[in-house]
Amino acid sequence: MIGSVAVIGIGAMGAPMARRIHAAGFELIVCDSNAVALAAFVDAGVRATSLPMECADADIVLIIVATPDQVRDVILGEHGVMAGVRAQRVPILAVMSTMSSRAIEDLARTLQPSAVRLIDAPVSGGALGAEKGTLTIMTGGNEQDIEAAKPVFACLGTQQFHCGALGAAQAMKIVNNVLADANAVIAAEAYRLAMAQGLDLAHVARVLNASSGRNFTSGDPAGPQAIYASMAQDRQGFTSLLAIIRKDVGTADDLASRAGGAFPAIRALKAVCESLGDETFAQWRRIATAPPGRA
Amino acid sequence: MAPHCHCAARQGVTAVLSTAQTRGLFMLIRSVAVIGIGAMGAPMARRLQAAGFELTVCDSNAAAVAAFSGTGAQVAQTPADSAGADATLILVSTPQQVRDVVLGARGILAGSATPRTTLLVVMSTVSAEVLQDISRQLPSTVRMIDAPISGGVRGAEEGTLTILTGGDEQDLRAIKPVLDQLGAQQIPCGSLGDAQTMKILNNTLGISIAVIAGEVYRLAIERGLDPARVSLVLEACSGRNSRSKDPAGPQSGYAVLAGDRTSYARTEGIMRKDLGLVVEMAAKSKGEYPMLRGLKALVDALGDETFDNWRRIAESPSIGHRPTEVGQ
Repeated sequence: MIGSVAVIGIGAMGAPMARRIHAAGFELIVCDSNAVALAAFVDAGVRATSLPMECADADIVLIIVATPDQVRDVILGEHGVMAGVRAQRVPILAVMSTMSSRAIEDLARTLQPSAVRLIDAPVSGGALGAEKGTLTIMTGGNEQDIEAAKPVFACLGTQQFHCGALGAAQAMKIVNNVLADANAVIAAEAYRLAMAQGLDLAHVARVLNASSGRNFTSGDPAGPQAIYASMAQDRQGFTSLLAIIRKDVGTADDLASRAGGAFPAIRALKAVCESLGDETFAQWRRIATAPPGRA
Repeated sequence: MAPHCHCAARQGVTAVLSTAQTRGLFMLIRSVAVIGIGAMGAPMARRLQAAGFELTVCDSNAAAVAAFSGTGAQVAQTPADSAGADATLILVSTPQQVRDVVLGARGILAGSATPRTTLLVVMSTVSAEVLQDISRQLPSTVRMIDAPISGGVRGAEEGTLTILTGGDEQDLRAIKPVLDQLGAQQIPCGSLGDAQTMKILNNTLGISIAVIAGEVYRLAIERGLDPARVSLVLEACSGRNSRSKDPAGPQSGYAVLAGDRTSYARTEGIMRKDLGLVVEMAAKSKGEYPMLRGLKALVDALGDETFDNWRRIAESPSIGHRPTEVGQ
């Protein structure tokens, strides 16, 4: 039975997720190197620390940091979780950040001598989904550990999909992201062209959604404006999104290079994503600020 | 423009109605010609005939029209010979063929010795510009709308095509009973050519999805993931797309795109044509379109490896159990 939860990485995703876990009645400890991120939790009476090792007493540790290196560091670093683990009390480590299956499998090998129970649990749904508790959670690893984690995941997301062994959920996540990234980029060019031809964006999206062009930007009844507004709120937000897109596509390219078959589209997508910049930002802003659709 | 009315006695009535209403009221379509009796045109023509329209078929391929002999359908040797129909559905492949069918030496216009009201319905995918150009050369009695379709051969057989329409409202109203037999979903997109633009943009995304999802499903299969399960998760996440929509998995969709080498080659040809149209549109529009250009170059270079990927997906076993969804 899980009573206590540690959340490492109190950022745009981690903070709302931690709040929901706290609200659900779990004993919470939050961890981030950024003291500002922790302040609101301290005010709410939540235990907070800058050292991952102090999270080792929790029944489950959720890791929601930005990069694979950070994942390794919060687990294996000098002040990492492992430095605090006591033999008689071994937490479940749930990696919710996106990383390659290879990286998480490497991590598992490194951790093998310990009794630590590593699972992967990447999420989809963004900051808004984290806020509302409507994330989709993909899981990979030992089924008992995942079963044990279920009550915690249940306060974060409405849908959980078990994908297979450790690393399978990360592979699933990468597969999802590559499709979403490609669709975000190409749909933007299509919407821009549609605007140039005088077509109404909400109408265009409705048609796409009923046809072969269906994608995540076409399903919103209000049109694609809101989706592009959230992806390109300002130049800085767009830059971080672009970095994530490049990371995803790079990971997929890496996965592809070691798989049977040829993957020219993933390679081409990687090249295109590396070339994106100001022009694309301007294009996405233009979509974001397009007049709302006709009824 | 004069009301489309063949009956002098009705002229008095039409005087009190708006032009738009008049055309809508009196242009009743009873006879339909279908030009281009291919994989799509043939089943569509059969549906129209079954619904009671007087059918004329026309195709340069004698074998294609032979299937209609003895069914009560008229067979026209050239588009000019089919010119008497109230409406003519044009389902040929290339812009040049559309031009020839309408304006060529044996085209529909050449057959209209006595000008009579007829409605040309361009269902092939061609650029809006080509249509607008042809439209400028038509006499006032010959109306034109565009009505590109999606839904494939199965949709054509079952009458479940999605039909985008562009053109004057009264013409769209007149053709509706015909289109109703072909597709449940008719989506008006605006004026002549707008449906084509919409279609080309949709196809661009559809092609991009087919190609990228094709690699992604292959990768997933290599990783030991079940394609149907992958689709289920994509549907719940941001990767959802037209290929993941089928709850049975992506297998049957890729089997259609790459049934065998021949059908795959046809798919490639259509993809290249559509992307040619969008790149042309992009070249004439402001802004930069690196992804469209990248996609065009990519699809121009596709070949055996992509066919193999798609066949691999088409043939991948469905693991048979419902994907595990835990928790609610």
